[in-house]
Amino acid sequence: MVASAGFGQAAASWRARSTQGSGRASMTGWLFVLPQLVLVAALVLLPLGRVIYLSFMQYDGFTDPVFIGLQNYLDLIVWKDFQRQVLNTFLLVLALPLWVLLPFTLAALSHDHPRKAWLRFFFLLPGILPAVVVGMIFRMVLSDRGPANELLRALGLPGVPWLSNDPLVLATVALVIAWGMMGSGVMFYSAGLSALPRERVEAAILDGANWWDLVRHIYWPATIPVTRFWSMILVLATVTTFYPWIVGLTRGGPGIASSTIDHAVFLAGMGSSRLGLAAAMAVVGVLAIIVILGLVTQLSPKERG
Amino acid sequence: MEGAPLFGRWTRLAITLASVLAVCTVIFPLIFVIRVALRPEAEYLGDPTGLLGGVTLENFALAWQNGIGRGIVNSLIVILPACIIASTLSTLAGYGLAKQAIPYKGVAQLVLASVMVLPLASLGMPIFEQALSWGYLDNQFGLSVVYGVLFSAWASFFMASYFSSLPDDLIEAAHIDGATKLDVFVRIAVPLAFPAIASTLVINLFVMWSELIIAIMFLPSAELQTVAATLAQFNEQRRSGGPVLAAAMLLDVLPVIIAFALAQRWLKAEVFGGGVKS
Repeated sequence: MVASAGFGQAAASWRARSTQGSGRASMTGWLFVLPQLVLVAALVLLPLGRVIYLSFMQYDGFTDPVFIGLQNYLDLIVWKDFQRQVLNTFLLVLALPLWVLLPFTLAALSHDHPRKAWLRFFFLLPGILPAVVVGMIFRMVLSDRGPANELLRALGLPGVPWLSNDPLVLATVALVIAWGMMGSGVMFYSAGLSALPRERVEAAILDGANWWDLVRHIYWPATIPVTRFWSMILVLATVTTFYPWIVGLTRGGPGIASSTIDHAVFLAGMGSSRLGLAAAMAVVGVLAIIVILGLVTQLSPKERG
Repeated sequence: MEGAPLFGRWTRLAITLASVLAVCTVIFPLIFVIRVALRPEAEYLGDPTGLLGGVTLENFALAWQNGIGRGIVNSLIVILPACIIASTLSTLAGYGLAKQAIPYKGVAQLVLASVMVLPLASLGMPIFEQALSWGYLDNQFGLSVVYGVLFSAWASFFMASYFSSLPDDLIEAAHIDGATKLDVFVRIAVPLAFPAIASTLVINLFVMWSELIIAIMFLPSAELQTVAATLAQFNEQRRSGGPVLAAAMLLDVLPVIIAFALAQRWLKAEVFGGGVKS
């Protein structure tokens, strides 16, 4: 998730995009942008167009595609497995407060701590591990005879079926993703907090504020822009980039209890002989993003100032 | 560090305790995996959670021979050119977007922004189909180009935001001296933007290193596969985990950690400093 750092910069610049430019408007300026746009059109947009085309076809990869209208989409809607995967995606979004509050709390804890640099090093550590590896680490740690359960048993508690119980596995996925996303979150919140003038904090303490007051009345309000941006990244990630964690952690199991929309698209693209149906799934993945972006821009409060 | 402590003793103690707890939840799983990777397989099978006992490096050798070594080499072969392609495209485009008054700029921005949010999972199958029919499937440089293009979109916005902070006077002065647009770009803009270009290189290195679906689909031959794809299939063979899998995971992560350690100093300043102010 280190990418989201750059994504943040990119989003910021998109918002505050520069209208300046030297010289008069001219077509020669396009030459700078053209190489990228041509390659994007050829290698990204063209395939995307093809996947939309195929989503209306019956196609197995060998014989010629046959037009079947919306049949692939209708098949998807009534397909129980896919319904479950959509439901799982929505259930996972419910973990958003955890994914936001955990990095915020850690950043607040390490802010102004004498061992700040060390704490942040450890908090950032999960962020640089590839998602598949994070999933695989916890597949080991949370397995039936893994250290987490052995620890519980040593304390006289029963073991927990982290990865094998149907509804529980979703909570496990949410927790593991909280661990995996924590690094990037701490990074953003730390950057947000470091912009806070120390005098304001000191003044509040002179007025008798305790740590909890600081967190509620100064740290949290000061990082609202971070929260807004980070929540958007998280919601987008839920529909687009969760599959590596799921591939590493549960492979969607037990059954499809922890499979999400993007994991379904991932599986369908790789191993299906019904490429038309797989294409329809891919299109649904893209549509989900458009809907969510639309909702986020409609719902998020207009920025002041 | 920064003057007198802000809080009383008990608050500080509570903060420290909470921090230590958090640090433990971070390092406990990592220590466990490192320990498993160093255990002889027979001992692990007898007692999967034991922390004591023998120490061996044999698991790393086995993991390396069973595809991880080849995967790391392949990843480097694919990713290094891909990072260079992405940074070249995005430096050019970022400069164009920030410093050139070009008509229909909004169209270019919209196209790049949409590539940035497209789900990779949805692109895997169509990119595979196209590579198959155009004949660049199972070709490592083909994957380099695809990665380079896919991961250049966000970098263009990143570079545009960097270039737009450069004063216009600098560029206009050069133009008055008779330099062409390309001259100004190569001799003035690129050298000034070097830290930002390096940031895009490193971030793309991280992202591409762990990319899964396009790597799996694009390079079906086992000899060509990247380390991320190899590791994901390693998991298939040894589903419950074990010392060799743990060693394979650590080998996969090692180059990332080395790159992070090398880049950390200026990554922090360049990328994470100004990005989230609003």
